[in-house]
Amino acid sequence: MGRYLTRRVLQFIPVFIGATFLIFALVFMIPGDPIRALSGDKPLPQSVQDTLRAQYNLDKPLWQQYALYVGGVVQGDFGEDFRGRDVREIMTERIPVTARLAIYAFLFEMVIGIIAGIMAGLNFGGFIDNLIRISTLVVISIPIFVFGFMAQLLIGVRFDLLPVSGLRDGQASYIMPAIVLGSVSLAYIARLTRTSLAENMRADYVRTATAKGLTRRRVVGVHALRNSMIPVITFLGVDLGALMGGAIITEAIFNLPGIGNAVYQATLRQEGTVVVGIVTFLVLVFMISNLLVDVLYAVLDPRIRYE
Amino acid sequence: MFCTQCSTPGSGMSDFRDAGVQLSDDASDLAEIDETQGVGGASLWSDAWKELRSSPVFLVSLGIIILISVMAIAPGLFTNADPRACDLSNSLGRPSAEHWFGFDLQGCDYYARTIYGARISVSIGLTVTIFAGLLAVVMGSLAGYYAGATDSVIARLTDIWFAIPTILGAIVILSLLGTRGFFQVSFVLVILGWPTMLRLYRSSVLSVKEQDYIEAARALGASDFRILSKHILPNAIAPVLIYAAITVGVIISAEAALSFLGVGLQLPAISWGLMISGAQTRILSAPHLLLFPGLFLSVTVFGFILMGDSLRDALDPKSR
Amino acid sequence: MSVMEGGQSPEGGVFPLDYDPTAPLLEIEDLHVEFRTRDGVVQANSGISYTLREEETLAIVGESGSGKTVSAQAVMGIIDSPPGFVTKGAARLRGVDMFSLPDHERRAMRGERIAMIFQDALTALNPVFPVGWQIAETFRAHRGTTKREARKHAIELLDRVRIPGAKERIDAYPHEFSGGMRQRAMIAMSLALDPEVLIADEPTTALDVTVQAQIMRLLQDLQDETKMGLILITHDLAVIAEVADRALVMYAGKGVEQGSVKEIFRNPGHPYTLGLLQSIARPEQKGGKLIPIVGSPPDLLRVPSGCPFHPRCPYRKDVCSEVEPPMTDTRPGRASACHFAEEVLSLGKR
Repeated sequence: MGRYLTRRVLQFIPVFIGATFLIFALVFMIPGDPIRALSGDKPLPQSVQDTLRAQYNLDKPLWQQYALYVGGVVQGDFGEDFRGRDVREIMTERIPVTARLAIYAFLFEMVIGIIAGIMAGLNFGGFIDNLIRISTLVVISIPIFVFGFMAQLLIGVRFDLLPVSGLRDGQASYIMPAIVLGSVSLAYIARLTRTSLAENMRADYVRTATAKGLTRRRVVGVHALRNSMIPVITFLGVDLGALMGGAIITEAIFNLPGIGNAVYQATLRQEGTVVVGIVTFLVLVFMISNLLVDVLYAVLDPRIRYE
Repeated sequence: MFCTQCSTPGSGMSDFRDAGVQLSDDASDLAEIDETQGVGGASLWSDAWKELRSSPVFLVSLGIIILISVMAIAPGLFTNADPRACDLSNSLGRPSAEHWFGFDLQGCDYYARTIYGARISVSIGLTVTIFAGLLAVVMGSLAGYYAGATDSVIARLTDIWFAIPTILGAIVILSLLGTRGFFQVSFVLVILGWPTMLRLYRSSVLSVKEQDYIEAARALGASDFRILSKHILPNAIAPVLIYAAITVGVIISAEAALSFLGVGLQLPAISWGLMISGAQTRILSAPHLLLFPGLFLSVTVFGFILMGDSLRDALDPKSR
Repeated sequence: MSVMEGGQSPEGGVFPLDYDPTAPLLEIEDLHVEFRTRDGVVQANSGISYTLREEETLAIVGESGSGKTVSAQAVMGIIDSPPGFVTKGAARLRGVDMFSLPDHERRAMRGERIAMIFQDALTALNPVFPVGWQIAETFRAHRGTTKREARKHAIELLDRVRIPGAKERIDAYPHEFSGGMRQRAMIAMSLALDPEVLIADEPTTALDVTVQAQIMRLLQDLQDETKMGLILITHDLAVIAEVADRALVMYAGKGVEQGSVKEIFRNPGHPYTLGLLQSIARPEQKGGKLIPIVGSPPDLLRVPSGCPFHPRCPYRKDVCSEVEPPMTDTRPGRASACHFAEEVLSLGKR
């Protein structure tokens, strides 16, 4: 197991470098000079521009800029945005918001999704199953921004049930956005659980368990479910990271000051350091969650433990 | 006379992980589908077609797709109005008997704009899916068939893609581009959407490759190219086709999302995403601005995803 | 499973009291099982009847598609329903018709009184739980045994089926065993509660020939110990000749011949059985050809009229396609479903 993990970590290093370098290159290859853009209508004196440029390493070749950046990151320094704000400070301010949002969405999608999936899977081909199948498809089809706006409109404004903008109302502010953010993943989880359970119910070992005289409750709840959950849990493991990286639209609609919003704004304003900083963080999250999923998968399925 | 292996073994577990953890359930179990040839020439495809013909789910999704496609190809059949003939005096007009969907901020006929919006959505959806699919099949064949170093390299490359959150990557890349027309947006979406299809096809190739008939073809001296195109492709393609149907829907939704965020298509393009973006600040006062393009968008995406679902039910031997 | 009409419901609440120790161990009477599919109704079993006594081994023989596995599953009560339904018949264990029992009593019998082992132990065992855990589960679920006690019993059982190093292997997973070991483990699991009847559905088909012999010997030895009745479902005539006392030959969901193995092999009473015996190599035959049966088994959606075997029967006459031959006694302890059973019998001893 340890060897397997080490191998995976080593595999991830080039991925990390590749992904972060890619973003770095994209962001700093922007046609147009951010320094000039910063100064607006009144161009700054050349000497000031040069100093600024040197300060942000913009006068060096790209690969060198990247190396310097990574060196800084390893020491915890993510650089500053062009207004002098420490990027790390921006991140520590905003990550908790997105993390909270992602965790609530995650809990929501996991509980409801799995329950719905189990109901559908046990009722395979029946009315409940078809109902869940179609409704999950509908949820996936409605674009998240349409759904978000409608939710905002109906729940927040029309009927005033829940807060739908900003963080003024404490934890309650996260409820609606979490539901919207988790809705598509919920649909996927429900369908995955359904398919997995239905498939396992037809497996030979279920027949053996029944032949052993076990109650249906035990056959389904212990034997079938344990096997069915494997793909679901592996999906969930990766989804948490995906939620954090994909909350951009949700944060925009519901006005939450998280990293999704931050990176969106930063991209439009060509704030390269912020973008790269946040993307680096997200890539790290992705890597860690993938590793966790690998470990989890080996724990759940004894057949693959000896790769 | 007596067969020695008469009973069929039990159904195995789909290897979700092998198909790439980023895939939805829609794709995870697809990686195991391969063609079964029955006695008397019945094949998976002809059986599937027979089942599809009578499936209401398939027919409904087909109906939606045909309707939207006709709308895209010949919008004139649905409306006489010119979506670009805008009169400011009609600004934000409410839906009425003559103008079913009312007017938008510029005073353009909203019904006409919604109908014309189909064209860009469908064409981007199809274009991106086709190109991503082609790319995925070619690269996936190489990765799956040759394995070894080729596979490792391609695997690392796709890993890099997966590490970057999709929307984020799209936003970053698109914000760099000055003009963002059909080609630019399609290009970016192909780049972002292709790795998932590649993973799917690659894993499909990996399982088909092990079949005895491939070994037989090789023993008869078939070239690699011939094996890949004539033997592996028809048997490995089913999951990709299913995913492609779903992908069209996903791409349409993605384009709308990007346009909504302001990094997708630009005016004067007529896109449902742009229309909804314009509706943002006025949801309360003029809900029709959100409602109609939102509805059309949802139904279109639904049609494609439903199609993918019904194809999967028909092509998955396990559900027979 | 549909509830039967006919057959007596047990009186009184506690099941064991209704046992009739003088009744035959297992008596299957006129079993009909159908599968309602999209393409039509498949008559998987039409009128299967047999009796099993204690210490007896009954082989149910037939090609794949003959309905033999379905009949066993019906007796166990583990048919997927829908689409499968038991539409007629009785399955009496010591006189008690299992089909007429309420679900929870029926379930209590499974594993306790009647058990089943399957062909492929790799898929029949749950891959994510250790083998010992799965065996112990039988005790925990049926008798409320403590985990520790159950584990001890499991180790004893693994010993009993001659798995070396039982104590160490108890926590291993199914995929860590070899094919033969796995099958032994499954046998151990089925014998946990000392059932009176064991149904073995093609237990050795997936195994190497040498391992096959070991498993069959194990089953015989266990049967001597426990005096249980063994139903062996197989298509392998050689195994039957070695191990079984009596045989029921099935074709297209119907029984075509029954009797003692010795007599049937020496002097078959049905053209199908005759064909089977002629098509395998036997040491007495020196030179000459193997004679296969022409044609292939029928699609159970479209069973031929009259005698289902008639299209392939070299002795058929007109009556065979018109009237279905009932299973009739031909000799003491033997029966055939053939209009010309006597003629076939007189074809002589082999």
